[in-house]
Amino acid sequence: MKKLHVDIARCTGCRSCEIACALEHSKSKDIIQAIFESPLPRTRINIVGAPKKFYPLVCRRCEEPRCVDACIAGALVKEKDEIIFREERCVGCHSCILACPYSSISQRKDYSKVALCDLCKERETGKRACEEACPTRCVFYGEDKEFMEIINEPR
Amino acid sequence: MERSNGVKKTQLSKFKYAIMGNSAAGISCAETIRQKDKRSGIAVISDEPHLAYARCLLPNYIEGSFKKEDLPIRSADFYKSSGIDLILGKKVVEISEKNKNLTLDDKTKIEFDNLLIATGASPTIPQIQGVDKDGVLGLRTIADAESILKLLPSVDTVVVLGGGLVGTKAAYYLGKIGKKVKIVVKSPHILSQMCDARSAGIMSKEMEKNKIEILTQTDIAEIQGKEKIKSVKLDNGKTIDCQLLIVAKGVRPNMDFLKDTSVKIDRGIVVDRKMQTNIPAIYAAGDCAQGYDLLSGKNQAHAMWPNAVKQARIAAKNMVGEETLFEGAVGLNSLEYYGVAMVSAGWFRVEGPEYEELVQGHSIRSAYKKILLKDNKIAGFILVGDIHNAGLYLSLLRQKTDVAAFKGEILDYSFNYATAMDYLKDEEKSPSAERFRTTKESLIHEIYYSRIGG
Amino acid sequence: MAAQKKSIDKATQQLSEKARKDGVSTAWDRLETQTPQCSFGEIGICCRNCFMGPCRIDPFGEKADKGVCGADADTIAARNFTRMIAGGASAHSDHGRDAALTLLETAQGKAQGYQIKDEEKLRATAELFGINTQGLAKEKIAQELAEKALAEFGKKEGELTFIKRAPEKTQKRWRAHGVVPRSIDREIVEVMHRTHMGVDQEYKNILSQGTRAALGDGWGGSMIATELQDILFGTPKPIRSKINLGVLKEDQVNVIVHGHEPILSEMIVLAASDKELLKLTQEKGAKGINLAGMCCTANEILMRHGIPVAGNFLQQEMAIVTGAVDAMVVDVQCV
Repeated sequence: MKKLHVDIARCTGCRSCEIACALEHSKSKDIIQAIFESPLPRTRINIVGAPKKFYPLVCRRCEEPRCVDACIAGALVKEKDEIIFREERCVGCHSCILACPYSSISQRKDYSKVALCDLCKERETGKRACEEACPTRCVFYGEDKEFMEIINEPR
Repeated sequence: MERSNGVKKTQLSKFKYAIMGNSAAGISCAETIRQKDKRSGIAVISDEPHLAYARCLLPNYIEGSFKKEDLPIRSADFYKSSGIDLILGKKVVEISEKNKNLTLDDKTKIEFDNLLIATGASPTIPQIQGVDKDGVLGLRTIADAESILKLLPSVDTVVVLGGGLVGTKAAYYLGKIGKKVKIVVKSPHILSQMCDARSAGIMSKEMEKNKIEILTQTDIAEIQGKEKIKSVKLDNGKTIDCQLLIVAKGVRPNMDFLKDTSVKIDRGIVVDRKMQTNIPAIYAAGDCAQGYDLLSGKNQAHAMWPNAVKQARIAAKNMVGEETLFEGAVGLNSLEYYGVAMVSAGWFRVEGPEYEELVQGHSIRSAYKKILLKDNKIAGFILVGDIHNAGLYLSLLRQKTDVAAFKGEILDYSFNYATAMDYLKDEEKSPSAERFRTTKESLIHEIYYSRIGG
Repeated sequence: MAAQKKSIDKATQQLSEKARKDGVSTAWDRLETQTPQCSFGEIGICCRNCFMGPCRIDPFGEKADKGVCGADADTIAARNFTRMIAGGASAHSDHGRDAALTLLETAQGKAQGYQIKDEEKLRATAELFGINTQGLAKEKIAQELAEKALAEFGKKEGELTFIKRAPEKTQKRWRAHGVVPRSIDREIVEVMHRTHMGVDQEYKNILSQGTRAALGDGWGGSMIATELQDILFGTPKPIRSKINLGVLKEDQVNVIVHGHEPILSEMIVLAASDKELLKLTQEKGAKGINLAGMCCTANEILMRHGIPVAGNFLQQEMAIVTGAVDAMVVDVQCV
């Protein structure tokens, strides 16, 4: 299954992916207007830090997603191997945030519903917003095998 | 036997898998079986006339943000395309473990090779004088919700008996649509099964700010009125006029139909870690089951949606021959009222020298955080406000990780999955995580430190 | 990036194609490698003023809402913007300083080739600075004026002299808001001071000081430059000329002057009509010296001498890409 991978060695923790993701999921898609929207756009990828390293937290597309099990509203479902989040159904109970072992579901500010990476399905350019925004090109969308090949070859 | 949708007309039918219950556990089991066994017959029997629906959304249905047609979590098409025979509106009155069949209330008999009992639980109705009057309702089924909706136009004041998740949720949503609400709770604070006094206090304050009255350490002595409820009399003598009483004092597993069988029952249907009862080929999962509790290692009933889904999946796997053990249920709760989120898991009301409480009061975006450690392992936690590490703490709890090494940082806002990762097993394989583990320091760090000669 | 997207000007479109073929990198190529540009930078909420940073505010309100020192988004944006004002004001003010120093040296006879062209303006400006020009020779007036102008940069008290040229109502408004500049360099230093970590966190104050420094530029450094340059090189009158890269000539030596200050470019104008240089040019097979300007210095020599303008700031690389420019002489900044 295709998912988002990050080459941690090249992550500089600049958070460009966070901004790009939030912008991609905003109504206006314009940075100046987006910061005035209500609800505020929310990034689905979150950078956290560890000593000497950075780690982007993003949905791992689990085989048996705990978030789908936890969702009481049927907003998170697994359809044909895809994890789909139907925001209209979300009631903001946060059971999914409690369930996800990888902190991949985001709580939102002044808004009950949550946010989950949707792999930018709606995007026109064909590349994820975070992929394009990363200045060190360390975000990759594809199969596990393809990613392993990329990080093992000298860049 | 042809596979079709709807009630079987024949008197006797045989299915490889029969499932009693059409909610979280029933659906999870049916789906999992069908993923692994594409051909055998699966029957799902429910005493309700509805497609599988999200029971926890009933308060939202009453409030109006969810319509009745939004409640189902699976469409009619789902049953059809999965080849699941859905039998609605029928109760199971008898189970013969010897003959491996069950009898419905319309005298139909269904034979099975494997049976999952996922009949859920029903609201506990306390023995109070007048509890059978009109206007005294539980909130477990669509039928309950519709009864409430029918009454609402003539309701000014609602009394909710019970301060747990169901009670407070009902209170919250009824308050939102403008009803006067009073919660009567026996414990010293609301949500006593889910959190401690301090966090309950934060939630009560929000409710009281929004005009919901909370009467603690109080019980109802009498329900007054002719056929319809007119008022309730409390055990302190006071009377409250009301037109609706919602009883939310917990649930009791549905297992009466097992009384003439030798299936072992206790406070629920007793199952092992394969979700099997003492009778081979009969399994149980969900609110009706009493299964393995992760923290205590003993059997306990857990009435929680995610546990039901997981237990049923384990049952299904074992039914199709894939031996799997249930990791164990953990008490889980999460809610958000008036923009304040609260999640909790595990235990928080135990004492002894092996327990240690880590507490943090008001801080960055968080109203309150508490982790209960037993022998330096997380046994429970409560988070109010900022809940972003809830999943991480639950992982540490489930994996019984020793957290002594980072006890001092674990409640910090900046404590995160990356810092804890070395202590956790990844249940989902991730090349990024592998890359993280094998990279000593990021390249930018390497460059920075080599330039400044450090 | 397609040529049409780079510019609507046809000359630029043509040359950007040539640049591409020649393998020459231009501002547009560098813009592409910078795209997408950092959004934190775009909104101005990243601060690198001190070593507790670098700090960044999350524009979507989830993560950091304050820098380590406690500055919020408004403070950081105000600091950044006001420091940009200081940068711009410094450029213009040094320009004015240069003009004043040149006037001084010209008055003292130390600047060969420079002269006082507009005596009328000299007298009028000197009067404004409180110099009694009755019966004084122009060199004397020029020296006093230059010294008074230089004093504007660091004087102890009062207001900048040119402030009184603004309409009364405007002056009153400035005084009411406390933004009348006291001396040119001082206002810029105060900008750097106030925007330093731990000094003035209040964004309105910071922006007020920015306003004051900006006025210190407009009615200080810039105005001094303008007036003194008119005195040295002549007050401009309406004039016709030509613009865009087509002013370059195939059969002449093309020299472009680029930059901001006529102090140098005026001398290049003189040199371009020097008889000996023209003779050398013809000996080498060219018909003459074709002088053109780019950027602000182009304006200076355009309005006083009608020298054609080869292009604007963005076209400076294009001029070189033509291959027809023999020399580009740059005085200060904007390259």
